[in-house]
Amino acid sequence: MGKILQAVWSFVTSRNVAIVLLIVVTCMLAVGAFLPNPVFLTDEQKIEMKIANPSLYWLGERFNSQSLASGRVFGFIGIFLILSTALCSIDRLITKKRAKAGALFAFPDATSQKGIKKSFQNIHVSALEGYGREWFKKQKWKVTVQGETSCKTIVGSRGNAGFWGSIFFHFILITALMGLVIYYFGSYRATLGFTEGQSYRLEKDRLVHILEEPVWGLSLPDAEVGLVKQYSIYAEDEPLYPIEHVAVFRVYEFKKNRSWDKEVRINDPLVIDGKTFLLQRGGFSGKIVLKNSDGVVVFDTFVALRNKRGTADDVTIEGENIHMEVSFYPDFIKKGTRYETKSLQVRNPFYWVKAYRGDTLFFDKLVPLNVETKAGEYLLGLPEIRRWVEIELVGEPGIGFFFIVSFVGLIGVFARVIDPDERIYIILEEMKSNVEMTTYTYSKHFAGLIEDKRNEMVTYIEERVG
Amino acid sequence: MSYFSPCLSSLPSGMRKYYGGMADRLLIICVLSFSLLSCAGETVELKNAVTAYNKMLTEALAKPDENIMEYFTSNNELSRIGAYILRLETEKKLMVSELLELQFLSTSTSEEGKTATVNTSERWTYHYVDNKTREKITEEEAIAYENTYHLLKESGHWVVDRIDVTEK
Repeated sequence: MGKILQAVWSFVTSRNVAIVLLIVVTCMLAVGAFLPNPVFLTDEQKIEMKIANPSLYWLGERFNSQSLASGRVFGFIGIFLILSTALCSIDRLITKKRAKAGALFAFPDATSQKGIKKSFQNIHVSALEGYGREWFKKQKWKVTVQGETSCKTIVGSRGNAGFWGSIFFHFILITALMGLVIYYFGSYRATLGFTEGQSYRLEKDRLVHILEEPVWGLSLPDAEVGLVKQYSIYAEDEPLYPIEHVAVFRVYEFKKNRSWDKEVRINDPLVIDGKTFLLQRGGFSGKIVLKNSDGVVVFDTFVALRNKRGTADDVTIEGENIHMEVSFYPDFIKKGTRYETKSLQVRNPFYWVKAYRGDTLFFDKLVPLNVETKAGEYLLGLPEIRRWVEIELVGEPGIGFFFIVSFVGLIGVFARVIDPDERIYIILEEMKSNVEMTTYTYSKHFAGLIEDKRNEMVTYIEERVG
Repeated sequence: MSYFSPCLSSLPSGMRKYYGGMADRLLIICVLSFSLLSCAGETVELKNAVTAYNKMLTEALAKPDENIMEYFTSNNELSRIGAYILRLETEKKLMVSELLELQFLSTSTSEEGKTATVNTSERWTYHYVDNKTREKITEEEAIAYENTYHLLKESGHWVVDRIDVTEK
């Protein structure tokens, strides 16, 4: 039983196990980074990839770095590392306590065991001990002596500050990893959609998608938010490629009773009451009005066009069994028989609408903005075009803490490096006509450097003996 | 006297002079750097306001809907655009325009920071379309202007209040 517990303890506190796990994590992330993440693909690209390379799509869907990082394996490794680090710190404290109780004199496994033997004539053990002590004192090493007059073991050691540096680093690591745990359970990501002119009070029901939610629930700022305007600026020579997206939001905070405008850009988010909203995506939002033969409005709403750079989408009017394919051309041009847009600026706005009742196509026409057209028995009106944007409420509590604390933890590593765990053992034995001095060294990390130190010490004692 | 640390007074006079001089220089450098950075930020804001105004103007004329200019103009300028759109509508036409080049010549802000002017050189093309069918009813014309935009700061952002237009 004792052996099993010892083995479990060794496994859990093993630095090598932690290193292997970290390597596993790194390899998984590296592989995941090369796989495509379908979240970032458009619907068309997804379909294309599913057809062209189904196995790659399958792998990408399951093993992309995003899904790996939020998976159970990562969660388990994170928790294991926290436990391991905590127990490793305790293990070190136990080892230190044992060392204080006299274990320091038992040579550690890593000791070079390569003793250097010197013999001195006409001298007492106590004199050599004194020279050894002198040298250790000069080096500001701690000296411990054990043994009798004729046979003494003197141990010079350093690394006390380094030891506590190491403990500090371990505890900081636990704290930092706690930051990750807070992130794991407390992070949130949710999206909100706005059409220009639309405003509403931020409430959970308004969230379009909740991708992540803290275990203690998601709270929203007590504010009303409205999208005043959205516009994009495009490269002069590439009118379809935006160089800047701007969304102007008007915010009214109920508690503070104040209203303010904010121009939100890609890297300049909207922040309300400490909650961050990132500008995520957008497109055109067309108002579609459909009247039946009696002039009764059967459909009248803004439809956010989500495909093809926010210019196309499908619309279903269930009560009428109508399905429409709507494409919007903000700057319409005709190339042969093809309809295209010259830019994404509303300069020459046209819609191309294909309407089906069941499977029967009953309308297929190019319609200018703000014109009512007869579509079968219906009257189709496309009176207005606006823009919609999606903003993402994002919170990653614990991540900033993790990075700051990790940085502070480096102080511990630094202390460990400048004050490493090193020992020099001097064994003095009084023989019949001489004193034999044998020295051994131990260094956990810098075996080469400790040899130089030992030689320096031996030379010093030899010089002092004369 | 330096605006820096009062402990300078505890230094010997020679050192005080030396450090005091250095502090003054540092202060001047900081103030200048801050002013330059502030000016650069203000200039970018003014340029953004004019760029956005022109972009939205193109859309307002093409839709036509002057209300989309609301965030970018003062009430005066909004009324002016509204009147122009109304005139086009009575003539049953719409303007389709394209800003080919927008060059900023200079910007200046009033001392109180509430008004500003931006001088630009612009090249446009435009044509008119029928307001119902959107069929082209005139040929494409090219035109170049040198404009002076007069801007006001309203609710924390710049809006265009008036434009002095000079055809080149």
